[in-house]
Amino acid sequence: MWNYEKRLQYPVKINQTNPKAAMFIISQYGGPDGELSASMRYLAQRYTMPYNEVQGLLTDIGTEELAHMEMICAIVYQLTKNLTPEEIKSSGFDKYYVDHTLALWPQAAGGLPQNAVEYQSKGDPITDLFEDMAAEQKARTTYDNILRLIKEPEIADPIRFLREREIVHFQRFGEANRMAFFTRVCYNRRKTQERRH
Amino acid sequence: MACNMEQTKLLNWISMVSFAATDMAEYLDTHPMDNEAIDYFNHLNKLKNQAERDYAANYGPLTLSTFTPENRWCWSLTPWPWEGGM
Amino acid sequence: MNACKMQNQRGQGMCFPKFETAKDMTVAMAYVPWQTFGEVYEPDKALRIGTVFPELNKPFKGRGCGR
Repeated sequence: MWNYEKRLQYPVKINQTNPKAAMFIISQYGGPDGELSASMRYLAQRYTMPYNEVQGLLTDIGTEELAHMEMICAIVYQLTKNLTPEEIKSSGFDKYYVDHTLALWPQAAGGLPQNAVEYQSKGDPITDLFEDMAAEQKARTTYDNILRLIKEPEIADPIRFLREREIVHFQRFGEANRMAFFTRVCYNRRKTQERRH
Repeated sequence: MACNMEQTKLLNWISMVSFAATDMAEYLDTHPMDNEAIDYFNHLNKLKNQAERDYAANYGPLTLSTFTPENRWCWSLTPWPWEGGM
Repeated sequence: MNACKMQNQRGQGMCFPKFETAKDMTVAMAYVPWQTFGEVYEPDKALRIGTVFPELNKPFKGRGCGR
């Protein structure tokens, strides 16, 4: 169900080498609150969501999160592609390098690999949507933390964009939650009325 | 392949209108009957589709659906976005 | 409840109540206010900021660090 456009959603053009920054930004690739987890969470939940509008929202946002994952990977790739052996040894990047060279691998900043236990697809619409709202806030906080650690505009600009998307998605999942809740309330009321008559 | 100024401008324009359309689409998922929002989405979508056709005609395709190869499959041979600037 | 007409149970063409007053909101549930369509940013500004909607523009101010 996917096509792609051969461009990033927001451009990433980084000219500096900075393995230390790459090592904490990678958390938004493979970390517990990162873009890959977010995408897999929403795309998993949509199958059993009983409302078309919310299935659409989960698919649209789940797709956008894949584009965000790609932006994070582009940032980490550009920050590390010109590393010298001396820079690898002195920056602490050597622990990652020995297993992955300069490749992208989905892990958190602390080294924990990306894992499905980091998200839930519970099959109850209210539960799943609150999970999604929490996920967006966790991702927003992670971007806040990244912005406290890096100031260079060529890195900070795409990070600010990604952070703003989390806020927008929180609003959308909140609205979807109200749609799901209202539909359930009306369904229950109608069933009660039918039983009375 | 170095981008010239006009190509960069058009690519930036595609990014802008495509993103605005995406944001509107997510709004419409939770506001499916908002006619004013639907009109604005349609306006952005039209701009995006035209810009993508123009880009494909002058600089090469951004999507397989705008790709009409003549004698060479160059889809994978132009730089990929994570190389920088796209 | 401040409801508008339902068109079908599945939600196609459905509009949802705004729950404008606190008495409409039941306990044991959380509510995000409904956004309504109003002013939008021009596409260049929208991409820079990360949304077309000014009311959702909530930039990082650099405060707080867990201390």
